Amino acid sequence: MKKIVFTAAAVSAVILLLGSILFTVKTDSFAIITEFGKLEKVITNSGLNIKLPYPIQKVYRIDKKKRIFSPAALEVFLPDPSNVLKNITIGYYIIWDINDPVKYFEILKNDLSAENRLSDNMRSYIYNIIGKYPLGAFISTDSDDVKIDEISSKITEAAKPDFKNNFGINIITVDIKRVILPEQNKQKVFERMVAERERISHRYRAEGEEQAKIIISETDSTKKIMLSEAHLEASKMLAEAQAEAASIYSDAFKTNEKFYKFWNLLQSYEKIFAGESTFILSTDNKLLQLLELDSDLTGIVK
Amino acid sequence: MNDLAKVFKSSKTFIFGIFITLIFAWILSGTYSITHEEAGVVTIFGSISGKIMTPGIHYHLPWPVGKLYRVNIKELRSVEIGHTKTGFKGQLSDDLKYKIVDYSDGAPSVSFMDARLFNKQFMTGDNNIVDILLVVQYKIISPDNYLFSFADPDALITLEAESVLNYYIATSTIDRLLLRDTLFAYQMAQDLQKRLELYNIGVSIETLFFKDVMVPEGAVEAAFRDVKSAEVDRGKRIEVARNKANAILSQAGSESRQILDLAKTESEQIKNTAVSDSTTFLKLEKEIEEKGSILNYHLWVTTMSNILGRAKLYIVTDNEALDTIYLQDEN
Repeated sequence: MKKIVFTAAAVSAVILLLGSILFTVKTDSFAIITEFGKLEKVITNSGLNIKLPYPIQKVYRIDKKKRIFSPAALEVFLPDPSNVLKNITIGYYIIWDINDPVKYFEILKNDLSAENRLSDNMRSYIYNIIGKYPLGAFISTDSDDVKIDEISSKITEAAKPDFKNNFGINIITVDIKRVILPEQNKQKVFERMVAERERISHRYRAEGEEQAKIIISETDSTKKIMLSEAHLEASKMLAEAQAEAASIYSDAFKTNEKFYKFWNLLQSYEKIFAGESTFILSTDNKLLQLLELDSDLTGIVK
Repeated sequence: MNDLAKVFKSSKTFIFGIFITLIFAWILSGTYSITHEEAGVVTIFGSISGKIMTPGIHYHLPWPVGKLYRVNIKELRSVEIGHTKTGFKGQLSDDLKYKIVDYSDGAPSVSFMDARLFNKQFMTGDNNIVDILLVVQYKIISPDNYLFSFADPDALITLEAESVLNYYIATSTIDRLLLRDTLFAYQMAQDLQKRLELYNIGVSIETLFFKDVMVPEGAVEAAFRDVKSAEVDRGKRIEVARNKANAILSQAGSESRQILDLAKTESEQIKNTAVSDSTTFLKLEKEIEEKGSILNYHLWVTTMSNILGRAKLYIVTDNEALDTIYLQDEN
């Protein structure tokens, strides 16, 4: 019995001791060993390691991975005071990792204080660099004007040495993720947007009206052309018919011109006196000569 | 006493049995299976060991020596940009307020804006404000990179996508955005993939699409809607004019046909009259040839009787009386 208890105690002690002196460093971490609170060494490679047992040596793990942090947005004044939109709100993020774990550990200890540093110290770089660019460098329909990439890399370059030297932080990139207007300026934009759309609506309606007018007037002139063409065609047909009639007439009439003249006169009389006419005739008239007894023709009667 | 020794002896065996079982259980705890949707990454004392584990039964050294990480590589994961709930560390100060710090006057002045508005509002190249909700879908293609190269890969994807989106909107017009051009989304996906490759997080962008593209609610939205209805009005107005034009043209067509029909009829009449007149003439002429000029006289008398038969006649025997009658008529 005693033997078993002793064995169990010995095994436990060994496990505890092993647990206190052995530690692993993960592939995505740095490990910092302190001896009585004083920094002893940094382990950057992953694997199993040995240290003096607690409380002589302590191990702190620091994340080796890159990380992203998006601080509060900043309101920045732009250099063009004539522009209505003279200030903009910039949303941005920082991608960073640790390139000097010792400095990082001694000054910042953890990511929370690192993020406070990042948002505090980055501001001045952002104000300095962004404040030199006009609004068109952030928003413009001409993509050559938009300098967001240039601005981002300038901020990154400006901030790098500060964070590297003072905090052991490697700034990989500072990037702009949003450009928007402060609330007080938005209303102006909304009003302009409304005005612009109203102009477009008005233009559409006017265009409809105008095109309708054009269609109707074009159609009216087409109609006129159609009718005049029809009239032209009709008069051609009539002229041809009359020419044909004339040729028929002349073919017939030239057989006896004298008789034609006589007959034609008679026919035109029929036409001229087609209505109710008034004649005052003398009995000398050839037609009425029989009304008098001394006529040449009465001889026949006698 | 003998019994006690027996109990002691058997309990000794029992404890030894338990110990052996525990050792076995510990060794066996390294057995694991990977399903067909997963990939496994094993670390030994914190270092990545060997290859990515594919579906099947596998073994790794038990805890605390070995550790298994499982990643679903078939799952289509997604992040949304412009959504209210995409708050990361430091971004949202509470549920609805977005903190804006203004240091331009020296001392910090803090203002808050509606996080929902901020999150979906973007500025277009032609200075319009547009509300966007963008969805990015991706798959993990390299589990070890996804697990160990970046602290929060989803945050990286979301913020990089937001940056890409901001650039595209900042260089576009609102009209183009409202068309929801798919080419736009395709180019953005390409750009995002390129940016993410810098950080080697082992993901592949599968799709990127606009879930919402809207103008701000209220007066602006109403004005945009009115543009749509103005467009419809224009179409209607033109259609009405076209219909009217068609009616005018078909009427003109029928008028033209009438004119031509009439002319045709008249032409026929003229020709027919000519034919019948000349036929009559030729007949008469033939009669005269045969029967002599007495027919002339007959024709003359017939015509005169016709005319005078219809007419009002004054017959005077004295030629000098003609003047008197003429004068009376004048009065």
